[in-house]
Formats: sequence, structure tokens, C-alpha cells
Amino acid sequence: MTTNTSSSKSLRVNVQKFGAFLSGMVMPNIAAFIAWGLITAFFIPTGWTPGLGKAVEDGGLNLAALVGPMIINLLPLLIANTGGRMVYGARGGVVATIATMGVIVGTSIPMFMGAMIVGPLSAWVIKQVDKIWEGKIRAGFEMLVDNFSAGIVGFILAIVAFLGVSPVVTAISDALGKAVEWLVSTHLLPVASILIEPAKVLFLNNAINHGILTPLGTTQSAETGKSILFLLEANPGPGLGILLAFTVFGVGLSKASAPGAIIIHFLGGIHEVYFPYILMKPALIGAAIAGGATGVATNMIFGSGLRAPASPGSIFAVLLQTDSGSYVGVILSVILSATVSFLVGGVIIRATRASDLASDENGNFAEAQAASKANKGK
Amino acid sequence: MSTPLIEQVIFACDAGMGSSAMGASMLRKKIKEAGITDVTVVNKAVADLPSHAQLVITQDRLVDRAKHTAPDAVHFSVSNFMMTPVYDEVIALLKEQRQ
Repeated sequence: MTTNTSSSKSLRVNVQKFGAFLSGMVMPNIAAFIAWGLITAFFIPTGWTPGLGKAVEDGGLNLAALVGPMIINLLPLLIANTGGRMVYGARGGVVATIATMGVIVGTSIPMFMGAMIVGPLSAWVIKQVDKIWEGKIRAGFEMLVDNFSAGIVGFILAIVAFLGVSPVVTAISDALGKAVEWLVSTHLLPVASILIEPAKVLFLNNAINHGILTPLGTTQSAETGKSILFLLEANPGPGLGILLAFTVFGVGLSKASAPGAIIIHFLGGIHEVYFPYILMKPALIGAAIAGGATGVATNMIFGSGLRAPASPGSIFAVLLQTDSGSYVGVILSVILSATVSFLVGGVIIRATRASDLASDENGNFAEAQAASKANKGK
Repeated sequence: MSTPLIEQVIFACDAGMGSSAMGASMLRKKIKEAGITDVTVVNKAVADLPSHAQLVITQDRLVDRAKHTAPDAVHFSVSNFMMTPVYDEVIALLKEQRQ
């Protein structure tokens, strides 16, 4: 096997790379989103223990004060720092964080998109600036030059971001938010599953969820307390339905391995384990789309959503992040999406069962073995 | 095979947090069961693969990217974590090198 044997292959690699770049800025920081989600769940007025969130003079501990600064400052700055590091190490991370502060204070909305643009770009700028005097600094002056070049570049970039970038990104962010609202109000949001489910199976799951939906959803959640967007990709229902269909109707090794995959997928939240079952029988993508769209439609009808991203997409993570008024909708969306993809998947698996049985129980296994041999080597 | 002695196996996935962590712990267990003690198994994101990686295991959809970042490594690809011969093949290779 060689790389770039066709342009479609290199396109796939490039799309995956760009997706990994976007999600790579967000995913290492998911713990901070979870912490923020928990703080919100406990301490906002509609939360589990609102008394503790209240101001001290009202008899509380004022813990709700954490909610705003964390989402406005901490989360975007963490993303910017990670994005900067990916481009130019710790030094890139620092300049990225300084510059992103400019985008953050220039607006009133959480600046995830701004952080994802300004962060890596700022790191790239200091990388280029460093090249100008690389190897030309007089011995003993390295620290002085390094600190002041990064400081001055950060100073300039923060001003540029504040005056120039912030208004633009705010406008784009508003437009995207409006587009999502429009999709919900026209009941078109379930159509998104037609794109999301196939992309997931092609290992763009993180790119879509954390590169796009997590930033948009968190912005929405900051305004309304919850977002349906967190469930578009992370709902474990469709994958559960397909694995159940294999458990009941499958043959050979795929049937035998499906129950173990269910535990890892549904409880552990590692959706990657069900992708190969779909790739083995591509028609099953129809079952995933039908299940996904059912889940989205259910949450749309109930107006339900999560407070913060569910990552990994385990049923436990989903339930922990479910908004307190959304349990019925969210749980139903998981059950119904699993049911629909189980039924559609069952029909598809049954339709090809005879030929699967004929092609020897180990057919797929042997094929997988052959494919892995072919992919091996330098 | 003229491969240098493999002392580290890297399991790589897109984010380096989910399936690669699971695969690495499955392989670690099997290596221990096989009585091999001088091989470590780690998990990483495909984008963070070191260029000097020795043996890399990835999902077959990601193997092109993995080969790009770690061109000199021996690459194995897995299509389904739940039923794959790759773990046994890797162990066979490690054992063969240690005879």
C-alpha cells in the first residue's frame, strides 16, 4: 500500500487532518468543559443545589460566580493555548492565549470560534517572527530577545484581535447561531444526520463533534442553559441499535463480538467500535441515519438538550450532562434512536443473512486479516 | 525481517484518547500474558506520532495519516477492535525478534 495513490485518498487524508486539527484544540480540554457543566448543574438557579450558588448575603456560598468567567475566559483560553501549542509549542501557546484575550473582551459571547482561529494564527505569527533573528542573537541576550519579542507580538496581536477580529467572529458566530435556530424552527435539524452519520463512520466523529458542535453548543448553552447540538453526534442510540441488530440477526464472528462492542460503545462511550460493523455492510449507514434523525427529532419535539458536551459519548456522560428539565426527551431520544436503527439494521442484516452464512462463518474475519496484511509494512 | 528490535508499540487514533487507549490496554494485557516484559505500549493521537516510532497500530481508515507522520515505522492496521488478528500478529513478531 502506498499513500496518495489517488486524489480521493489524499483528499480524505487532508479532510481528516484538518478535522483532527480542529478537534485537537478542543478535546484535550474536555475535562474543563465537564467541570464547567458540573458547576452549572449544581449552582445555577435551576440547578441541583441552587442554595449554594446564591450570593453570601442571600445565605449561599456565591458558587454560581464561577459559571460566567469559566465559559467566557477559561474555556476559550484553554482552547487557544492548546491550538497555539500545536503550531509552535509552549511559546506559541502563550502568544495564542494573549492574543485570544483580545477577541474575548471584544465581545459578550463565549469566543470559541475566535479562539480556534486567533490561537493557531498567533502562534504561527510568533514562529515567523522568531525566524527573522534566528541564529543572529548575541550570546547572553537570548532570554531578553525571546521574552520581549513574544511579549510585544502578543501585545500587538491582542489589540488587532480586539479591534479587528472580534467584531467579525461575533458576526459569524451570531449568523451560525441563527442558522441553527432556523434549522430547529423549520424542523429541518434531523436532516443533519444525513451528513453526520456517514462522516462519523469515516472517523470524522471527533472533528464534527468537538471541532464544530461543541463550540456552537456551548455558546448556545451559555444563553439558554442547554443545547441540542451536543446530542447530534454523541447520542449512543444509533450505534447501540446497530450492534443489537448484529447480536440478534448477525452471523459468525460479527454476531459473537457485538455484545462486547455494546458495552464498550454504550457504557464506555467509544463509538469507534461500531464503525467497522457499518463499514462491513455499508447499507447499514441507512440504519444509522434513520436512528440519528429519530434521536434529533425527539429532542427537537421535547426541546431537550445537554448542558455541556457528553464526552466520551457514553450513556453515563449523556445522563450526567442532561439539563434538569430534559430527562424525558433525552432518554427517549436514546431509546427511540436505538430502536429505529435496530429495526432498519435488522432488516438489512436479515436480507443478506443467507449469503453471509454461505460465505463461511469466518469470511469477514479472513477478509479483515487479508486487509490488515495488505496495510502492513513500510 | 530486518526491523530493529521493537521496544515500544504505539497505538494511535484520531484524538489519542478513546479507541487507542482501549486498544493499548488490550494489547498490554496480551503482551504480559505472552511473557514479554521489555516492550511498552502507549497510545497517542495520529498527529502526535513521533517520527522515530518503531511499530504503530491504527484503524485502517487512519493508516495513511499514520504512515505520513511516522514513515519509518512498521505499520499494522485494525479494522475492528473487537475481532482482529493484529494483536496476535504483533505478539508473534515481538516473540520472533526475541528468540
